[in-house]
Amino acid sequence: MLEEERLIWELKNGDKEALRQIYMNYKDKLLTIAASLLHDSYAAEDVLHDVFVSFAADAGRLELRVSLGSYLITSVVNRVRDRYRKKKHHVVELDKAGPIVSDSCDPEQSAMFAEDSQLLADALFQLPLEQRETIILHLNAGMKFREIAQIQRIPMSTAQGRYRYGIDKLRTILNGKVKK
Amino acid sequence: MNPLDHIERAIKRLHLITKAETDQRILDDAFAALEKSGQKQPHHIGRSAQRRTLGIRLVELASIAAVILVVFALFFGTPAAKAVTLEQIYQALDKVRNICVATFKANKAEPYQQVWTSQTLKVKLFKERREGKMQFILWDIPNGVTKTKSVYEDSVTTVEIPADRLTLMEKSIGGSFGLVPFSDINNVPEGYQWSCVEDQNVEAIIPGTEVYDLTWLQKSTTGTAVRFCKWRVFVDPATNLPKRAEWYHKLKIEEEYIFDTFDEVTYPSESQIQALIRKTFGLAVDSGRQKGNSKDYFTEVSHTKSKPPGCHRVIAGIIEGCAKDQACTKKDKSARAGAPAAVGGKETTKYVKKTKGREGL
Repeated sequence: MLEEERLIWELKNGDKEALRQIYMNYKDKLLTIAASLLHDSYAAEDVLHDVFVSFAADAGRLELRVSLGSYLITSVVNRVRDRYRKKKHHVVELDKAGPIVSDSCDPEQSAMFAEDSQLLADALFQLPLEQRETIILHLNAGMKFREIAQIQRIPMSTAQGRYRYGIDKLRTILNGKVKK
Repeated sequence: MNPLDHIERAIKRLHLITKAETDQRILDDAFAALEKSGQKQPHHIGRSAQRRTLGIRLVELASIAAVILVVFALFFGTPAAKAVTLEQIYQALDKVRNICVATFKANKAEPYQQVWTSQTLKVKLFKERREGKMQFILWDIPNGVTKTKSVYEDSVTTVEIPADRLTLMEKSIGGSFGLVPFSDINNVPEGYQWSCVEDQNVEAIIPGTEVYDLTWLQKSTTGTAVRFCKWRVFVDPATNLPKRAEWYHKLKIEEEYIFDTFDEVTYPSESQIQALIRKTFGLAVDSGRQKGNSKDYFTEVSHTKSKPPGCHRVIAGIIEGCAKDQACTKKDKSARAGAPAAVGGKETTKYVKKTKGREGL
């Protein structure tokens, strides 16, 4: 955490290397969140672009009240919502985006994972945005329900409810399609 | 295994990676935005065209306003405000020979340490609480001794200073008085920020001063841990000398700074410091330039004169008065300025001369 604060300090003083480091630390996580919410990797890249350019432009005035990770994730979520609000978003197949990777070194397992990921991405996109957001932020971004509730400006119990409903729907949609 | 478990695990494992060209494009644009941000230009990169237009309009308006202000200033001959730089403060302090620094804990009215330093006399006088007693400690460099006296007692303890310590103490007297965070301006860490505080409430603390903040990042010896530090200085714009300095710190960037201590500074003359020492210890102080390193540099005087009752309180009163009049003193900078605690002590004592019940001053 202290290392992150050092990076923020250096960034506020115009250090490009600090900006590069922050970008490298968060880019994949933010892209995954954006792509999962938008179901469009090109749009997700645009979101990532806008978030970082805006982050850099405002670096001098940056006053973080939360962790840097939470700040950037919230920025991504807000920009995704903006795109939906402005009806700027058109759905594109997720597999046209960059590769989906797994931690496994086994090619067969990796292929299975990619297949599962595609199924999941398609299923996720059938959920309402609020439920998708809650599930992605909780499972993929590792945020607590309390933090998600703050982002969504709802009570924590509502966030938990959205999560439960969302997961139930996913189970119905996938109906055992996701492999172990 | 529960299918729900599989779904949750699968979502956790979702992971996209960016392409190299995407990284390059985003970083290029982000760097450009960062540069523009550093030049304090409008932040409109990556925003919509509408906001871009608004930004251009704002720049145009700002330009017009700036031209009007310049014309106004030229017409009325009003000089533009000239900010004091950190370098100017260091340069001004470098010329100071006699100083008094009173150090207070935040929100306390009484200083916990006062230090008078005279580089011309090569002396340093501390007033601080030690072992539950308010004491005066004098570093008498030309005579190579320290003298300690309790405010409410008459006895003076004299301790000879070992040669190696004497050198360090002399160096400390010639330093930056512990008033600035870094004894040498070249030691200010990279990335420091120097900014003018334009807040009337803050400026009102010491009227007639300009207030500046120096903020920097303090790293541990391993270079990993950090501490955010702030030094707020109230500068007399006529002399560029500090009249007050406040010390803050915080451990997390999102936190508010914690106000630790503050210094109030005055610049007494050599003769005022001489008089203070004379009144405290009953010593006549001559300029070191005249007597060099003579052991007679400080001469104990007028032992035969009778001291009026309660004289010690008078002395204390004089010193307190001086402290209040001149707002003299200094802070928890024992380490920075060289604390009296570093001197004396049983293990370093070569000889101890006690003058009990001295009479008169």
